[in-house]
Amino acid sequence: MEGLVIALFGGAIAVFLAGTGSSIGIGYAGQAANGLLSEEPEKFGTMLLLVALPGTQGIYGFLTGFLVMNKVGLTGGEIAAVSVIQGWQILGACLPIAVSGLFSGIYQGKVCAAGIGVAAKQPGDVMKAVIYGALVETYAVLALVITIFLLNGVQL
Amino acid sequence: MSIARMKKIHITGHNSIREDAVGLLHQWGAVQVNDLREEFKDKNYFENNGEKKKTGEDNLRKVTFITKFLERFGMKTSMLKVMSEGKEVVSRSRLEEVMNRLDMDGLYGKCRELEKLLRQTDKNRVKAHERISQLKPWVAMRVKLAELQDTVKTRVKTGTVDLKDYDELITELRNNPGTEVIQVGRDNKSGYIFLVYLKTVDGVVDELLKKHEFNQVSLPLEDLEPEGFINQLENSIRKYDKQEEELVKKAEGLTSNKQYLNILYDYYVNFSERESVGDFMAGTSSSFFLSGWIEGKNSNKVKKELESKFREIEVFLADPQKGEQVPIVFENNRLVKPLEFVTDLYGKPEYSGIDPTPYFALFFLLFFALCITDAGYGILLTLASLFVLKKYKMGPGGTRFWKLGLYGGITTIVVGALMGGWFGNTIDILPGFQGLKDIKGAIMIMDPIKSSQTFLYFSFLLGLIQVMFGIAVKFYMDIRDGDIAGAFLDELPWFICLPCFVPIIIGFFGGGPVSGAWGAVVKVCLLVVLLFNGRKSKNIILRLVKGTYRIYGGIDYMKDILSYSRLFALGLGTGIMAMAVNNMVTLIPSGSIVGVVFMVLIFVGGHTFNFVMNLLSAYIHTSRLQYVEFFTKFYESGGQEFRPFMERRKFTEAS
Repeated sequence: MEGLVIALFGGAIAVFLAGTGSSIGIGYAGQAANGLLSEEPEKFGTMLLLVALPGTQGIYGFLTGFLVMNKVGLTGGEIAAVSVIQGWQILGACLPIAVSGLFSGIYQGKVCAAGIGVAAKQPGDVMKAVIYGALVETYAVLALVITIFLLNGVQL
Repeated sequence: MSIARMKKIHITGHNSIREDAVGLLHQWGAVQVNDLREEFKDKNYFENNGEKKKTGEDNLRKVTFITKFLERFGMKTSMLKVMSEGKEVVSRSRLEEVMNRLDMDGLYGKCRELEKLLRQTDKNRVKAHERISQLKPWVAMRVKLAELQDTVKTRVKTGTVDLKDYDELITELRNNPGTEVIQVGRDNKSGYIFLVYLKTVDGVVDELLKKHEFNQVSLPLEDLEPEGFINQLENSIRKYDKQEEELVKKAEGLTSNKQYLNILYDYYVNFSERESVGDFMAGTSSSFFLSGWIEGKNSNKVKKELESKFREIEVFLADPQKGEQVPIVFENNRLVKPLEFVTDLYGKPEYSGIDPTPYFALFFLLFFALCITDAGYGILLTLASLFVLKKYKMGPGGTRFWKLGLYGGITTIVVGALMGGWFGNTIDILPGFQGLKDIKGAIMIMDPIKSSQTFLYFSFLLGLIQVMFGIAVKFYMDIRDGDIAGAFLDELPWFICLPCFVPIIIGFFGGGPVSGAWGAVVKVCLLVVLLFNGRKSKNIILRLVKGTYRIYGGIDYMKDILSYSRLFALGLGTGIMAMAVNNMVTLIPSGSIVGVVFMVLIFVGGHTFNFVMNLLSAYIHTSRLQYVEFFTKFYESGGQEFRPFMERRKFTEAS
């Protein structure tokens, strides 16, 4: 049963680290947006996207957590017998999205917070700022892909 | 094509009909008037007629001031109420009646006066409070304040010193001949000292005071002891309070003019707007010239109407020239119209561009529904939208928004029923109701929680479809704009290549052997991209580098498609949260009335919370998929909104 614990710990790391990254990122962007909101409340809709952008990492973390549960059979069917080695393998597979989700979430939040400045001064170019923000996300996606490949590679 | 064709409209005529013509244009609200100030720098004739404009602005300023002032005393007009009850229809005679009945200048004067008095009263009161807190520490001093003055031979000082120096200073002063010191009291920071000494020992005392950082405090020279003076001040504060009360009552008496003020406000807003458009026009001493944009479909009607109403007018229509910044009006059918809201948030397209609304409309609604996947919540959203649409009369913007809600709600009901979500698993855990359960089961085609993997793959599939659709739209645009090479060499290879990855990836994840044909197609497509993407570069190396870079950029497609997993995450999340709410409900023993009440409270509160939260994230993430994943394939914003010169009424309607 130790293997199962380690595997679930991996899933948990993915969920909470990536989720933390998103929370911090949205926190930065949200604070900046509130600053502008107090002056120009009509820009709420435009800024909403920038604020929500760093939320993807949390979703990827959630997805990974779900895939782990699926792998070990917690979402239905029989719970698999996970050896300690396999447990560590699953935990290792979770690390790419966990770590890069944490950091890309934070940095994406910073880019988006700066994008709020664009919304204030050059409202017409906000969507370009969104594209910059989305660039940061690329690396969370790459990490997610590797996590999925690795999870798939673990033989139970 | 759903960007409306626009025409340029030029109107010129004799000055005698200018006001009437402008008035009609204002009423019709079909023309966006261009600012000609730059073009005709010195020929802006309207300034010599600035008197009327100034009066209008003056009156508007007065109405606004009165309204703002009286709003502080309960005259606020609730816009919700205006929307639900409808705006008052104001005829010409009603307007005249209002103008005769309401002495606006008089009212303005009264409000100014009241405001001044209120401010004065408040200022006095604040001052009195300050005095009191300054004097409070000196209450123990039984001396009339006026007596705290130097005499011929003595000096009198009052002041404070830091607590740590207090005792030391007092001792040192007491030891000094010719000095009398009284400890008035202390608070948690400083000690208060009252000091009398002979002028002959000036130097010594000053030295001591300086050493201990004594702060001299000058008290008001009243013919009263501190305590008596405080009492007097408190009395005057009571007096100010009363005064304020009376002033407020007077102001409240004036709020009965609300209806009149609202009517006048709307009148003067439009009056000023009509006058100020004169700044945009050009002309000579006897003629005016106005230029602007109009929707193609209205242009002939406006021209005909104007020319039949006035003899001394000439209207010219022209097609927009290349390079002109043409304002954008969307022309969509009733079903697609509400989704323009989503496009507008991103930004209008250029006139030569494309309106993306019809292309993403279905995707948007479907994705929105998938993020919620609960028919119960769909019903809530539908009912809420219907209620608002029925009860409130809103402008086109508000109507559009709530219609979007209505469409989203209906789609969610359908998708939710197919996924078997009815306030989570409420139907399943209800005791009895076997019929309901059978119906639910009959409609349901997939349980997102049980077949979650299918749901995930379905999300990716939708992503692939929308991304490919985006490439297809770009393909169409290239052909339309005559860039045939672009269409076939830049867009088509990716369009063919992306779906070929599906069997390859399935194979990779253990889905059995993969036919080599798929890989071959991918290779051919990527080779085309490699060779032709940089075709505009003459240098062969640069050309290949550009091609390579473009292939590397293909990673973006993967990123885009994976991003659609949010549909799965959000859709699953709603169901799980709803189940959690229901679980909490079932944990409560239902034997007593209190238990039942708690069950209902948790059920209603929990589901309302879950509904609102998921609605918000469904909207945000669905929009994001359009903006970041879909629009980047083909869409560019940068156009300007069409802002017609029209009447804007907040509280009233013209008859």
